[in-house]
Amino acid sequence: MRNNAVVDYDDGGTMTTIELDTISKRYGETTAVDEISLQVSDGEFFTLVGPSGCGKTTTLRLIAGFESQTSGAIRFDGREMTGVPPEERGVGVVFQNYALFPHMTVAKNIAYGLRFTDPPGGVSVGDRVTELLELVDLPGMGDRDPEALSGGQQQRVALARALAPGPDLLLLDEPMSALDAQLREQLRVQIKQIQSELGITTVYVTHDQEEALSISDRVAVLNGGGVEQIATPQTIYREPQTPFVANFIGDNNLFTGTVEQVAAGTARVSVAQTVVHIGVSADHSLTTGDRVTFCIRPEQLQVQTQETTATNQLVASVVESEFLGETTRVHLTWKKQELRLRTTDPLAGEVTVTFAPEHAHIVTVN
Amino acid sequence: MSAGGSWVEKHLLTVCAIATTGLLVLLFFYPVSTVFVEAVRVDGAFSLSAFVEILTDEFYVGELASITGAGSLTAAIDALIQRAAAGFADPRMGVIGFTAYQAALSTLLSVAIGLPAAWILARFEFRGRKTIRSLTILPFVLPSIMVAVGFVATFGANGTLNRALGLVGLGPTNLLFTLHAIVIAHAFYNAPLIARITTAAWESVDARAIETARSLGASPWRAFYDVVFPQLKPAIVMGATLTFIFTFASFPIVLALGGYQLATIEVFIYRQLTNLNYTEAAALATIELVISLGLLYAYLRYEDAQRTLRRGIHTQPRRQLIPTAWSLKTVFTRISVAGYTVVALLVFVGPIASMIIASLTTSDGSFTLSHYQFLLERQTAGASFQVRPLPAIRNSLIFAVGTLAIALPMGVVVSILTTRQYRGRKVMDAIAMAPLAVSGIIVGLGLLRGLVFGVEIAGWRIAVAGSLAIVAAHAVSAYPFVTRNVTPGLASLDRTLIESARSLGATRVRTVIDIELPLVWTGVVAGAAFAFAISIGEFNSTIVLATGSGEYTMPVAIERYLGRRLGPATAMGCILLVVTALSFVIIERFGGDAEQRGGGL
Repeated sequence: MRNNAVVDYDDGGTMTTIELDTISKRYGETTAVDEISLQVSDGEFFTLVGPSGCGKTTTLRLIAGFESQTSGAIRFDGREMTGVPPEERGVGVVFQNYALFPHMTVAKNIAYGLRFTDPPGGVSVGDRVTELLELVDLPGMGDRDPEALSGGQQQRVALARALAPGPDLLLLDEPMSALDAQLREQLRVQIKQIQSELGITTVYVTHDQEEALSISDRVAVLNGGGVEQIATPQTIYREPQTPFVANFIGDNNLFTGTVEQVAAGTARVSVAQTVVHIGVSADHSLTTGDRVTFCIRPEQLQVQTQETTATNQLVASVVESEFLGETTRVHLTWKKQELRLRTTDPLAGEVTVTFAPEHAHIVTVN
Repeated sequence: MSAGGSWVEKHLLTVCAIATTGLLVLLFFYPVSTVFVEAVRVDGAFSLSAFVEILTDEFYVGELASITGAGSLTAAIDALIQRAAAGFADPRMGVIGFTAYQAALSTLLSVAIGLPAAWILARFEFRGRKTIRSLTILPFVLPSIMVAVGFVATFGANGTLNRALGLVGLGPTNLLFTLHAIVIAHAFYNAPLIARITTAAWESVDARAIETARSLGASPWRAFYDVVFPQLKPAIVMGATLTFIFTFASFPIVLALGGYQLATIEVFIYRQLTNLNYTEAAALATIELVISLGLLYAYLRYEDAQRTLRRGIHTQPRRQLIPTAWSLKTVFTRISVAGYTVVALLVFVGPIASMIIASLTTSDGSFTLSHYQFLLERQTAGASFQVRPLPAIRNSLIFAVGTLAIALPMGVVVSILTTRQYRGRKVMDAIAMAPLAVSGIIVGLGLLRGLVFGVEIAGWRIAVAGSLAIVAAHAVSAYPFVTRNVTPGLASLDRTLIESARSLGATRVRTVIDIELPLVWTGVVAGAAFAFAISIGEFNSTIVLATGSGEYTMPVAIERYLGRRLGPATAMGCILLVVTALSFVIIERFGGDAEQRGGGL
């Protein structure tokens, strides 16, 4: 990746924030997007992540103007976008299947948007195409037919084409789903670099939670058309607000129990007739008798090889060990509940598992 | 960013939609509706008497007339009992019954000839396979009157069939003016259609589904019956239904090959028309249309129930026509293929070859150019009321160009409007495809009575010239073929291509011009060639509109010559063949891809 500052013509005057104000999209009986509200700030890399059918792609299409919401409002920089056709929204869109125009060369594809607007920075169309080809690491490829390129190359052309008119907003709809794993990681880094170099407000859609965590400034986890949680990747991972987020983002172990006693910063909870101690952050106030759901990440569960006096001991039996190389993912059962943990080497038989109270994160209380 | 284009650019699609709808109303729906109004108006008052007359007339409804014409329910039941007591002996079909009967026979024969062709085209690999596959669209560009001439030249007293039989000491036989000739000629037209549709379905059978059935214990025949056949069935039903509808309304072939003894509803509509008996013609046309539309509706219901999505299929590998190893089975299948090829050659090549031979031979079989000379003489010395060849050629070409100018934009606009997703799209689709279901005679009659004779709208008298009406009628019957060629391409275009262009600043109209049309261009060109060829060969509405005028075309000229002498008709037929072949070459050159995409008809 070259550091090509000349491409960025951001004059500092344009800034783009996006606001979705309780937007819904219904198709007949089905609700694809259910009262979603969120704000994306200028220059932010914002990701919509969720399982298929969660409404993430529909939300992106509403932002792009390919479809119009049933209710609610979308605002760019406070300007209402309802009824504004896609060609007047100033968004660059990159699709999963690249969507390059097969009857045009790479250069013509990149230059297509420049038929309707002058290249930013007052350069010629040819120069603009050249600098974008350099930006996406495809110098000299302008005369090729898109179909002669590899998937990764095609996707970079699609990115260059989307960026050519100097859009205020970049929308990426699962741009890497069609690529193999290794290429995906390379392109991920490249997209992130280009995005931060240009400082362009970006909305990214993916079903891959790992991708979402690695690339984003903030993440919105969607499920069933609604927002589960919006936060930074770290917060999403460490402090999931709903059981869905806890389960969807990374591996997790969820427990539900009854609060027996509350002390400063900790609580005693009975889970399946076993008493455990969990940390209580300032965000939650527990009282005795509350039903509490908390989670512990697999890497926070310790396997004890010797007798221990540690609190929170769970005696579980190993069901399966998956050797993944760097780590081993161990599936266990404890009191009819499935547990997962990470070790370096496969395990078998009965094991004692412990966790520190502060590693338990409270998800919900009621 | 972009300013989004001018007002015109933003609303061009709407303008085109309104213009197309307006044209359709003016050229099709209004004229056709005048025909139906005519059918229920007697002396200026509403009356169903024309229908009652037809439906109780034994001449039209045959045996049923004893029931429908009985006057009361009890009398009808009595009549029915009487007929039952007689064991329904010697039933008379009437014109409507005969029309359905010949259509049913034609459909059976078309299926019988079409299915083996589909089997060979779908399951064997051989040189020229793709060419033959694309030749199956030939019937749609072959003028039906020319095919009729070919069959006259084959089956007539001096026809090639009798000559061939004479060579081996058999015959003579006369098939002309028999049901056989009509049914075989209909098979000539429709068997390729059935072959085409079935081949496409066969090619989309997933080989892995068959392999799965085999691995679960099914024999090859059982796998065919359980996996392949259910997927072919909808295609066969579709082909058979279309064949029935087409042959039910068949006109030029029955007119030329059926003589006066064998006539379908369509032929009687034409006869009533030439006798200036408009009400009865209109009533007959209505009855015909109701039957055709009823069938079409039943079929569409069936199709809806059958619809399945097929994606990412692996097609079965084709067998080599000349096998690498011979066994009893491979020998048997190859003998079947060879036998079928002979039949196919006789049915499909025979008539065209007969026409060419007849145009170059005298009645005793020696070579002559006299038939072409006759055309030349007629051109130089013919009286003004006689049909001369050059005006026919000139008119045909002018009308074809005019048809292209109207049908091409109309067809493309309809394609664009019917591939977009919006409420009421299905209705739009049905309305736009309606001209396919209405016979050319009715369109011609409507245009003649409605626009050529003139109508008064708000005090203004509107009348169009006969030639304009002919172009209008041709355009109406041609544009659905443009649509059918363009729509599959447009429908299979990835919508993200269009969305990418939109987000890059292109208006809806610009995406049509920059992205959609260039990508479906082969379909557009093929559609244009279709429209051109349809116009060149159009007979039904032309003969209605050209009657008594100098606006005759090549097909009309052929029919006129055919009434007196076969020779000049075959010579004129050969000229028409050359012109049509040129359009077909264009379809072949540009339309190949469109077919690969599975272009509809």
